[in-house]
Amino acid sequence: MKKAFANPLFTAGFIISFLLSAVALFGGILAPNDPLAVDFRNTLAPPGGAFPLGTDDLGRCVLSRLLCGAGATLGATLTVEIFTLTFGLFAGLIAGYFGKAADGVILIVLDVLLAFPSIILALVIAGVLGPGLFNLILALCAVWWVGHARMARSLARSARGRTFVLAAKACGSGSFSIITRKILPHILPQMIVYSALDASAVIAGISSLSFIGLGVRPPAPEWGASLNDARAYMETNPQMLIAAIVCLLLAVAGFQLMGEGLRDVLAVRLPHIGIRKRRRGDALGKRDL
Amino acid sequence: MISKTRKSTEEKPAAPKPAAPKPAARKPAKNRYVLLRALSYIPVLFGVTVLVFVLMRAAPGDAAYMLLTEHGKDVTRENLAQTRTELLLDAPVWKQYAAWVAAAAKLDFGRSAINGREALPQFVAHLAYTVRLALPAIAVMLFIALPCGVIAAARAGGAFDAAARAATVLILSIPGFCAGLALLYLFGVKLALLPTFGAGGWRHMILPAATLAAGAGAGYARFIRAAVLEQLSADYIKAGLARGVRPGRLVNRAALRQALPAIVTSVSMTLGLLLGGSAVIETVFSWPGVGKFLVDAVSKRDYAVVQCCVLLFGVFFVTLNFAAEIISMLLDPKTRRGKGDAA
Repeated sequence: MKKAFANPLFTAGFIISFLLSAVALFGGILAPNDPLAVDFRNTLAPPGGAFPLGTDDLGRCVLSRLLCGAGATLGATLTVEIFTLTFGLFAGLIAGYFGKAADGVILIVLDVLLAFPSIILALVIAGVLGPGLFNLILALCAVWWVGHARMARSLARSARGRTFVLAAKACGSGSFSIITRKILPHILPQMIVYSALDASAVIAGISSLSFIGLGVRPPAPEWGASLNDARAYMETNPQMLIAAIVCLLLAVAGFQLMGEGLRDVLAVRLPHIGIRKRRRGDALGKRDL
Repeated sequence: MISKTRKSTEEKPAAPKPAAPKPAARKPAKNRYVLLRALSYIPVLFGVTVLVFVLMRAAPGDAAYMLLTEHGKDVTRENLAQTRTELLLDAPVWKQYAAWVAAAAKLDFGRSAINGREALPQFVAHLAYTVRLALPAIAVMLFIALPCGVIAAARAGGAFDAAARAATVLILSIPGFCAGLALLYLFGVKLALLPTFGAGGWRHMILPAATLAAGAGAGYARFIRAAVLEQLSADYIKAGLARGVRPGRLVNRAALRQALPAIVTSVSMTLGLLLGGSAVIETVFSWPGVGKFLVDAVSKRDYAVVQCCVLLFGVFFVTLNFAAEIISMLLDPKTRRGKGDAA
């Protein structure tokens, strides 16, 4: 832990993420005003007084909405990341360790999902499910686990032939125990770094989709939705737009820095997963060790 | 050493086809590879159509009811039942799927529920706008990102590499629509230099094209750097250096050549990023491309249009990736030499 905080990237990312998590958890207490209180006599007020960042088109406090919106954006990101990591590890370990038919089937599923730009597929799934934060999370999970699965598969594949796995096999360990006791701990550092780096992409995905109008239902605050609200009043009330952008960038930067820092601290190298490398190994029946 | 290897790789494809046992032994490996790839292309394409079909069937709303009300007819139990039969809604799922695929293969994607026009011509009309935004991005990828990636890899750890890495991380981690909105505010509102929305002259294009190009360029530069760096750590480079070959020559002649397949496949991957990004960025700038077309269709629940867009995107990318793989295989000296040498 001491080693981790000696790394400036990790420390900076950790502090930003920690502060944002605090805001996400206690946003309701920190907020100076009720984020849902509509006041038609005081719409689009400039910053100052009781409203540090002014009010929006319905007279709601911009700052309070951003503080309370942190919970929705970051909570959704965390949910998506935890689910995709778990499911991606599961699928990736099975495909990577067992190979053969299991690998073939999982690869086809991955290839089908990869055939679409992920944000477009998430957009369509969220559209079919209808707006709402839960549906948005579901749509993103359905699409986003692919990256984790590919990473886990590639790592498990290269771990499969390592001596510690072969030794366990020689000692008579079953597949389940080899996967959970040997391969999983071995690839976990890489997967955690990957997840931390991926979290910033998830934040971007969630806020993009809510920006389009597929996220939280209107009165509830969320950063992407706040950006969309702010967009129409860019000329008269630019602080609405700037504040929302700053929030999103801070969150993205926090996770990115933490991921980059963790990568240095844990000294992991993520494999560069290209299309060609994976396929040629399969086609010629080689293991891409 | 290096020139020797290069020579041998270059000579081989030039060898005449009806030749000694050696090229004959090479050919099957190559054909087998293409065949295997084609065979794995089919289930993926099938999966793509099934996925879109399932998504569209999962969408709420009764298609028969919607069709009747769209044509302004009264909905009675009889004509509803009749329309359901006509639309095969009572048929087994596989029959519905087969009919749907057959229609899609004939490029019949149905009519928009909003304006009643056919989906495909509208898609094509919007595609022209997206292509206009994508072309500058592709130019940036090839003329700026590609050399930058190569230089960053060749001078890995140097000042240029550090600057390029910082720039790519910065650009890639900023969500595209945030960057777009920030640019919009800066150049459209604050400086009032450029129009803030819609499509018109070239001035309307600058901001969305720049936003897309920055993202695509940064992504591509990163792919290129990784691909070239991978080659530079290979043994043949060390061998070349030990023999006193100039490093610049090694990069240009040997490493780049080996990295060429990865450089080609990266283009197809980056185009995916580009199209995905365009959905949101076109919305930000109200640019009437396919991305905005799809976003609008999703929010209006115009499923005929959604299905048309998504299916075409999917088929386009599966085909693009397949083509990129075949091209990269043809460019790859290792596979070209045949299975025996590649192992």
